[in-house]
Amino acid sequence: MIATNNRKTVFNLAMASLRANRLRNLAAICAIVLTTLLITSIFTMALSINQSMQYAQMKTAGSDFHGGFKYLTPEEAATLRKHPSIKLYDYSLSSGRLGNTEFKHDPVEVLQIDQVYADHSFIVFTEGGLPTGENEVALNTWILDKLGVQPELGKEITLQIDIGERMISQKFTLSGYYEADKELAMAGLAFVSKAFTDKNLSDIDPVQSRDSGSYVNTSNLSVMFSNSFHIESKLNKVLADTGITAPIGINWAYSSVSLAENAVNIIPYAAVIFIIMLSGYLLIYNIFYISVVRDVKFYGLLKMIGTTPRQLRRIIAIHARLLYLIALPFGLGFGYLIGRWVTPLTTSLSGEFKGSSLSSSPWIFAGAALFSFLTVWIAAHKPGRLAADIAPVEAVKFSGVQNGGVKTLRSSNHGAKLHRMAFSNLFRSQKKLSLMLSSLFLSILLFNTIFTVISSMDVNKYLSAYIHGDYMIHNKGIIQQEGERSVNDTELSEELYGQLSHIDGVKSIDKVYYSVLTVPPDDIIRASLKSSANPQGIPARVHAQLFGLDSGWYDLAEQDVLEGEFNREQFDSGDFILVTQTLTEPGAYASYYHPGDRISYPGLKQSYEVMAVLKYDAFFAATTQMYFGNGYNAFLPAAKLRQATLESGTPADILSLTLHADPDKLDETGQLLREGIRPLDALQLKSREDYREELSDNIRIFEIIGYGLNLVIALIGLLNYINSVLTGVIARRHEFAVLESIGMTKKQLKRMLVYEGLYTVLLTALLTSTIGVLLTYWIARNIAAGMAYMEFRMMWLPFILVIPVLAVLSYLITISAYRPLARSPIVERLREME
Amino acid sequence: MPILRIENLKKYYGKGAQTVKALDNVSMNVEKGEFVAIVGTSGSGKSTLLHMLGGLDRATEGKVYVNGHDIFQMSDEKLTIFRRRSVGFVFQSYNLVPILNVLANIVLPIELDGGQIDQEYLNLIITSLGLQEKTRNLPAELSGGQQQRVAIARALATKPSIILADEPTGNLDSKTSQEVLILLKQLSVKFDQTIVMITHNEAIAQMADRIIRIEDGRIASGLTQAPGESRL
Repeated sequence: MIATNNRKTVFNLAMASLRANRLRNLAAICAIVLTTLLITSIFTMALSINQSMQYAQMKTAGSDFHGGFKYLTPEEAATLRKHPSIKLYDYSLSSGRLGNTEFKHDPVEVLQIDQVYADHSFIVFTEGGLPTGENEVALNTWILDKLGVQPELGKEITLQIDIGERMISQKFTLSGYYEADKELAMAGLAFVSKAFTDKNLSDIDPVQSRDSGSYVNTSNLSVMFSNSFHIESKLNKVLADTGITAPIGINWAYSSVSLAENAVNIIPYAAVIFIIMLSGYLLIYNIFYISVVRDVKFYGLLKMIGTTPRQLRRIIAIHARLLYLIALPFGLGFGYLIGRWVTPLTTSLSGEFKGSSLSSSPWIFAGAALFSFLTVWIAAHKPGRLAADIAPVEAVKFSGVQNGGVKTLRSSNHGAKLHRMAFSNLFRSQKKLSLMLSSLFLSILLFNTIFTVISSMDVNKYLSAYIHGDYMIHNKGIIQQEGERSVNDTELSEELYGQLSHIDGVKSIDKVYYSVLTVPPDDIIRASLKSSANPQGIPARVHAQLFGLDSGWYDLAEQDVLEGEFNREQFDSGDFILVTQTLTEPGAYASYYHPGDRISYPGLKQSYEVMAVLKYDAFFAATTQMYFGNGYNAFLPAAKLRQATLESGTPADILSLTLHADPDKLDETGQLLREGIRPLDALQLKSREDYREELSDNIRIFEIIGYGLNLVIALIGLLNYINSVLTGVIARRHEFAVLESIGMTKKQLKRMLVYEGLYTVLLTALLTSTIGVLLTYWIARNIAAGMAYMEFRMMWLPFILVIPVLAVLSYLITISAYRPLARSPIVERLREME
Repeated sequence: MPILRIENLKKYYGKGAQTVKALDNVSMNVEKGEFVAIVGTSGSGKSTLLHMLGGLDRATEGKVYVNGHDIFQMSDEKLTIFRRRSVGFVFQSYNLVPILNVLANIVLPIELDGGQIDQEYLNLIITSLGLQEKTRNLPAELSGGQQQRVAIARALATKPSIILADEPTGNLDSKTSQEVLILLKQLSVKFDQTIVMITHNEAIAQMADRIIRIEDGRIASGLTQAPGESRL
């Protein structure tokens, strides 16, 4: 056959029939908008969260370089950067610390950097740029704020710079400034010029300063490799190749979660998108399928006149595409708005990163448009083929589409009982039935899962995980200043403890002392690591976080004991220690020590006998809530730890105070406590009530998102059901007319239809009470296991409750579908189909 | 060569003892320009025969040649294209596309085929059928007789090899029936069209050049052209 120029005709035909199908179009557009909207909002959420996550990590990690070498001499730096595996590098010179008193608790490092460093460390100057002159400096808004200086170019600022050997005090002019807040790594940086370092630091020997620990005039080299895999081994290879020994740093933003690199994180999003696509598919498919069935005569007629099967398929495809194009902007727009609205809720839920950014990446729209197009395309494909396969002769006389050939009719021995007729009617179109059932099943499954997860949130478990008494004062400073930034004095001092204990209403205070030791592994740890065939080899040092607990905490020991037995009196003697399991690899815990083992720490005179081994997160509320790989937590009585560390010269600091208040004066006490710690910004006071509110906030967010999504999917399920029932009744008009003409009363007919609806509900109940229960159990349990404050509880209520609701809905839908039918006279309906 | 040749055509429904033989070994020819009426009682198989001739349905056995083409050898796609080029239909229930106006209905088969519309010929058909005032109307706005005239115009529009008419006057009153039939007959002469018409009405059948009677799926009479009845 020759190719013919008939696309325009087919298009015109499609347009004309599109116009004739207004109700179908509206339904389809709504369905497509709904689908696109959901997909878009999920995309917006996923990409926004990913972006904020990555960005936040980059910012706290300080740069987007893969890693770097620290404390180098200029020669070493020059050698290293020539290594062929290094694609890009930047260079910075440690130039001391700011010595102004404002920065006593928030150390600021002074660096001399190049432009590459600035570009890759998220330093974007609001005004000006890097310093060039000897007396120029670039600072951030947080530092300027601390100094009480207006951000303004050319402003004169007097800075003290501690370069280890001496303090330089000098007037600087501001060459540039950038936005930064305290949370960001780049807040703690100030930049001076090369002229400055040449003048002031050239006499400092980097080797000496490296040994002294001031690191002034040592160079740092940050590097980028061709990709972010195996950064550590690449860095080590560079060192091995050049023969230089230097500490390395790895940008942990690359090793931890980001959607692109961690496939596991995509799974929940993919699952949600899949469910949405499936629901959308069911709905759109149903709409198209029904419209083809209803218009079977029309399509048959077209075929008879000479519209080829391919042309018919194209007509349906054009319908689908046009409706998709109309629906798309609405879906994308609303979806994006909803995504923007929901994203902050979800990020606040995880609490991992503040100041989340909203992605407006074109990929959101491209991706959502693509996925929703796929849904529409797949959904309209089968109905298109159905239209194409209509035999023209059937169009001339037949009403309805036959599915999968003629089925063998079973003869019934039970006569024509209404409910039996209804039951077999249900299975006449198995495809329609399975579509309807799976749609209802999906929405009920989702509802049950969300309900179960939310019900599994346990306020008491949450509270006991985070707070023991009525109020808790945390010294955030200790944790933030851990490592290089540590300062010796702490704001949560013994004096403050004394003051607080005299506040009216405070019944008792439990202290937690904290000291983190990095110790070389002892024989027991070595033996343990060796036997577990640790792939990384035995680390040079492990972190032991020592906590000194007051007796108020002792009650919590019992519940987490894994080996041995906790004995209050013996523990108080100070000869015994409690140790936790160690995180050996992600998700796996094991204990180095066992009851009876003796542990000694360098610097501490005494050695301790292990009394019991506890779960890795024992005394969670008392600890820093941070865990070191290969490290462990150990617990001693508060006084004993304090004493032992005092003797060693590095006394343990108070990490937290847990206050038990007089129940009658709870609020006043809280007020007084707040007053008492107000001037100390490293301290954080939280009440039991605060935590309770935090949880209810979390629960509320869960509810909004969960039930919101659920509502939409339930709506889809319901629309599908209504659609099927309505069109089923319309398609069967002739059949009903025949039944009536042979003596079935309207009442009986209605009863039969109601039975059909109830059977559908019954089948749905059957599905949800079997597979549904299993799936809900499995999914909800997995979610609950991943969250600290969840106590998995299987909920039966939704399974039972859903059934009568569905039954009532089914009854109402059936009745309202039947009503208009009953009005038209039989003869008319009989003749209509001839 | 006959324009329509049917060989041993069988159409069975069902299996075994319940087999219904709608057409049982039918063979016949129709020559170009003939106006043939097929008559028979309800259920005699005349409609089934017409559906087979037009390729609307496929036979259980046997062959149909239209203009020398074995239509059952064609795929669904090819058959549809062949049908729109070579066969025109006129049905009892008109079967106009309700969403298209009269003109669009008439030219639809040509446009679907991507062919050029012979404007002169089209105008001739439209005026011959007296539809020149109604080209912009929708089918629902026309009377039964007018709708059937549109259907005839559509059937003629592609200059098909053969026109198949299934009870074309079944839904019309007797006066309109007469008019439509006379038109059909006139046009068949004017455009040298071959027409096969089904009817159960003897009076209407009498207008044809030849009458084929069909009973219980078999041809009872009229296989050969009666001498002297040829209009040529």
